[in-house]
Amino acid sequence: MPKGKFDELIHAPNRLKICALLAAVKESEFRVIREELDVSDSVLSKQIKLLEEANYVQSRKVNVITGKVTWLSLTKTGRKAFSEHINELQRITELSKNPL
Amino acid sequence: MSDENEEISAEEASEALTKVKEMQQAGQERTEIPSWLATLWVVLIFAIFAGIQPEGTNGGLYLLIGIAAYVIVERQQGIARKSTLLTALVIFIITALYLATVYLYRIQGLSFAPYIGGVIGATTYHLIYLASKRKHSTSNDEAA
Repeated sequence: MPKGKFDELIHAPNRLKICALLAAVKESEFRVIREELDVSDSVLSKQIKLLEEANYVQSRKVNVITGKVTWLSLTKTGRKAFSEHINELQRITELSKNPL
Repeated sequence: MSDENEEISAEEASEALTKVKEMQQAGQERTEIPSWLATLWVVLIFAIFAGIQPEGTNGGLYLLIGIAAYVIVERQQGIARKSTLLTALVIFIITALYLATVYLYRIQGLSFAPYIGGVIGATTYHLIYLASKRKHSTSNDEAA
């Protein structure tokens, strides 16, 4: 089984969902993540800020006709940390199925 | 920011993995081109090819407008694919086929070229669209 590493920052429910969504795509608009998580702007902003501080997520603002939109993506560090966290969750799950 | 000593139960880990799978599936679904747009594209591609005239301007401008609309609709979905290779592939194939059809019709004088080109173009796009849907469902199976 691939190397796993539990990450407390990622494991929080909303942050886990954010990372999962971003891991599946190249980048996503802020509003799309907000819709999928069904949370307010402020709640999502707070979670994104924490992930940005850890260098797991990066954002870029783009000017469009209707104003500015924020695109978010996982950094290389973020993808690695998320992947290792998933591996660790799978290891824990497998361990319960096949106890030593 | 990581904590290797953190311990969670297998049940909690399993629930987290389920949430991860759901979110990844939601992300994948949003990257898919809507079926109505795919159908519209199949019709549009055939119409543009079949509408090639022996002289004067052709539907090339409409093709360019269509390509621009295709890219804009993709972006308006609020999500970008991991790879834009598929979009680039569609644009490249259709454009190359269009130019080849114009050449065969106008220079080589093959009167049926626009219709054959239209069928090939529309079919190629539809097959790529179906392949991208299959790729997504495969990715979902492998996710989490």
